[in-house]
Amino acid sequence: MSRDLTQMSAAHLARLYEKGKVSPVEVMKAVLARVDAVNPTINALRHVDIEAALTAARLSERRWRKDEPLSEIDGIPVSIKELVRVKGWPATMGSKLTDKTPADADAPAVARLREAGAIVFAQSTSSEYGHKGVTDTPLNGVTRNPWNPDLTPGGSSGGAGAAVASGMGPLAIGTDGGGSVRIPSSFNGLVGLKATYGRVPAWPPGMNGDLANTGPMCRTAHDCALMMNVIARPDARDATQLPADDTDYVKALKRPIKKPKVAFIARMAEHPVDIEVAAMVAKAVGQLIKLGWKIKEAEPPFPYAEAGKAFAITWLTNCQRLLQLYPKERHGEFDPSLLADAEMGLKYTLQDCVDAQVARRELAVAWNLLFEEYDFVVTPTIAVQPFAVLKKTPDLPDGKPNYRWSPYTATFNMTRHPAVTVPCGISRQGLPIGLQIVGGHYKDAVVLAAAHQYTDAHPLEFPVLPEKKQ
Amino acid sequence: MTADLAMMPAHELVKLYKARKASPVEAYKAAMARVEAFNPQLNAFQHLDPDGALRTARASERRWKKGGKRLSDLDGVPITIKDMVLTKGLPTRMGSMATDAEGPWPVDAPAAQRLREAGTVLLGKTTSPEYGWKGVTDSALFGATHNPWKIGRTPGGSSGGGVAAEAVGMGNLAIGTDGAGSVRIPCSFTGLFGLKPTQARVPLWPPSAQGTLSHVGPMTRTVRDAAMMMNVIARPDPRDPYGRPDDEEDYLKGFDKGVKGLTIAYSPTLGFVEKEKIDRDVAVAVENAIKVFRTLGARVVEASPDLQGLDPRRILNAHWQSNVALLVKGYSEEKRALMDPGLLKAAEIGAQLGQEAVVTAIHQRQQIAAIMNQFMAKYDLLLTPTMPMTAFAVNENAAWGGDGVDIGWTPFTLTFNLTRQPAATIPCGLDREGLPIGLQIVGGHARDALVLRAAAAYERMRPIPAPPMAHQV
Repeated sequence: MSRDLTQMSAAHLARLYEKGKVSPVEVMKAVLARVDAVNPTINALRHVDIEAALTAARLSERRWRKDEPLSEIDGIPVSIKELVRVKGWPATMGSKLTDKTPADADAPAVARLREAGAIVFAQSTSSEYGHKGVTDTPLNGVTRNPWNPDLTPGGSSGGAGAAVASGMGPLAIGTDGGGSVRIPSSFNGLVGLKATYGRVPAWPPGMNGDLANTGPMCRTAHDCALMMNVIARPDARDATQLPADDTDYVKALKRPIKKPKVAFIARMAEHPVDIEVAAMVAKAVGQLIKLGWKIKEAEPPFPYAEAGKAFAITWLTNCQRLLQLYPKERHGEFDPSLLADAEMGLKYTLQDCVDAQVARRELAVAWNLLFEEYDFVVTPTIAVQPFAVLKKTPDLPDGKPNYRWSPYTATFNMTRHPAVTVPCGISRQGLPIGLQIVGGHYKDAVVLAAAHQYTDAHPLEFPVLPEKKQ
Repeated sequence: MTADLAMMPAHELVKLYKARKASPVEAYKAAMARVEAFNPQLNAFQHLDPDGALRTARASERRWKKGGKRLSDLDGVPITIKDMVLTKGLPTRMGSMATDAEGPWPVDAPAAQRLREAGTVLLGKTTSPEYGWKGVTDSALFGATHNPWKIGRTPGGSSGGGVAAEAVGMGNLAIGTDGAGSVRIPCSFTGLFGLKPTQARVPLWPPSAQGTLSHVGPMTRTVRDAAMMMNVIARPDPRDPYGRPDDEEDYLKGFDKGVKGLTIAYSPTLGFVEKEKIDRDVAVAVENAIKVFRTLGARVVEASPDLQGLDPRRILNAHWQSNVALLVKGYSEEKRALMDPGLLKAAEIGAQLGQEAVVTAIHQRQQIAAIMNQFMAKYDLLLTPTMPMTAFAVNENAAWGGDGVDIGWTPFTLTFNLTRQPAATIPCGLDREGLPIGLQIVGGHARDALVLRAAAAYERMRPIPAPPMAHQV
């Protein structure tokens, strides 16, 4: 096992803190050294607050010495995606157009992490306003995948995914409006959770309304549970938060999942799935059956074509608001792909927009009824493997752009169901592949426990990334 | 004796059942006698089901006779359900000539199903304007429903049939729906208690054209009856994907604890309603009601949220107008010719709104909700007038001579459809013409039980009177 502090899970580090074998200052320094070595290549962190990080680490060290940690993640370095507000840092949104005055308040998740003693040390990169599933912006340049720097880490929380995978802090906060936690988690071999909408409070209200979720991205399901114990707590600023509950997500990992009834949906429609993704996910399904899962192949309960269309309309018409928020003479500073999306959003009529809302309600009913029948739904997380940087979409075998490379994720933003991605294998090109596990509303702890059960039985041997160029 | 059963609070009625001093069949007969006496003037029913109701009442009577085997604490209580809520085997016309008179009606909506499972006796479906589109109750399908406090006045709407029935004992309990105030407007106008619960706490299905503005709630003559109804209808149903986590809340727990020690905000204008638009009798009655809360030991402070220039009326108008635009478009031209011209006008305006205006309104709704949530974090409850006015003439589409396309005449209610908070109305006096005035009691999300508890405390000081008509049997 590696003795490298940057390659350990948060749970592992916390055990070492508790025993006094390692201190938060040592870990913070190791992470900062790792940032120095790796970030120039990967470009996952757009801002690192070294002084504040070391001060926070020293305070945490004192608490652990006195045996008075604030939580189980006291002294653990955590990076925050630039779409999430951190007091003292500008809320950049991956955009050249945003006001770069430092924010005067923490978003709920950040406030909770600080209260828990976690070290909020860096701001991770995102695509501009999180509009695309890869991570490059006019503001920050290109973020790369530590498994292979020629490839994208996915997005929009690409910086968060690349940071955790390359040892730049074991915990990260991402956001997920259509898959933006799960895509980069899958592309970086991580566990990432998009909880039930409203489970993790958010503020201020974002461009994507109740599609968008704040979520944890970590090396293990256990670490996700540690983060959920902190961030899934009430905050009055979120008017759509769920009622407070005192779920212990870590304890819930130990509760056995007995013979769950599971629907396996291999394809959302006639969309092409990468052959290795399909094979890896099928293998994982076999492994789950051996764990006692009662798995049946099933079809999506609502036509994907309609769901995808409703999602696109909702998404693009939300983007369109950016054109109203910034003066026209500055529109040239947008990422051209965001500008194109926003302009496409303007073309939709009110009728399209209301139609999409109606379709979303019907879609949600259909999936909700499926979860009456099944405890979980499993799917591939992404239909493809990580692809080249600076492309917005991967290519189809015929060279045409594959616009529907992430059909599995967005559906559950529309329906608000909790969905987690776990690594389920490494492709021949040496790239991680993800399996998505989805549960009924409010079953976040159970979904994480299912992820834990799988990853515990089939852990990913995580290499030190980025691997040396051959 | 039978007349008394009809006006009796449900919670007292079931006590009589238990003591074998009354039976569900007697209660059914008492309610039907009142239907015969009053419905010709009030026109509260879209459909009556005397035979079905009698069968249900008999079945309940058998359960009570056996002793102990009852289906719920409301077993055998006569109820009515609004025409907007699906009921198996009974017509649901949505107040519209454009819907199919032949059905079929194969399934219950969640609230209707829970009430049947609870053994209640469904007398019939109460009137609504077409698709609940306006805050009064008349339609080409059934004509105008009248206010039991004064024939010729509207009972409000859109759950106007439900309140007209409830106020005079045509059923002991009523179910309404509320997309911008449609439970609270009519309860205010007819002197009843009404609760719009936290959104989706009472599950909805099929999805409403008004999305998460839409709510189902109880309309009752006592607060305790509403709490008992919530114990039946606020239970999960997988058909509502916005259904809240099942909290197994007992809405009667802590019901009698009063308001002593609570911190309550009183906002006469909610921070945006122009003072001159509020009837002076309403303003005075609400002020007096506030004093009652002080007497009861609550700390009441006058405070209004800072809405930062956002106007809930404009935000709600954009939502509902665009939603009805789509609703109407779903009908053929011949069917549309049968629809309420006011509804068609709203749809026409909605269709012209433009996508940007509606997307902006959706975002502003989130902003309002975040502002209200932070405001509510400082207080246990918020008190406002329910309506700026009292009941006006029938066959008007809105107060102040409005066409109903602008729903802004009910600003206090619609704000909490945007924010999804629980909001109740309780009668707090009569105006110069003897028409009821309502006080709105608003809570934070999921604090429905606290809203009920505060209303119950007020009710103990100021019991809810029945309209004079109800005594003329």
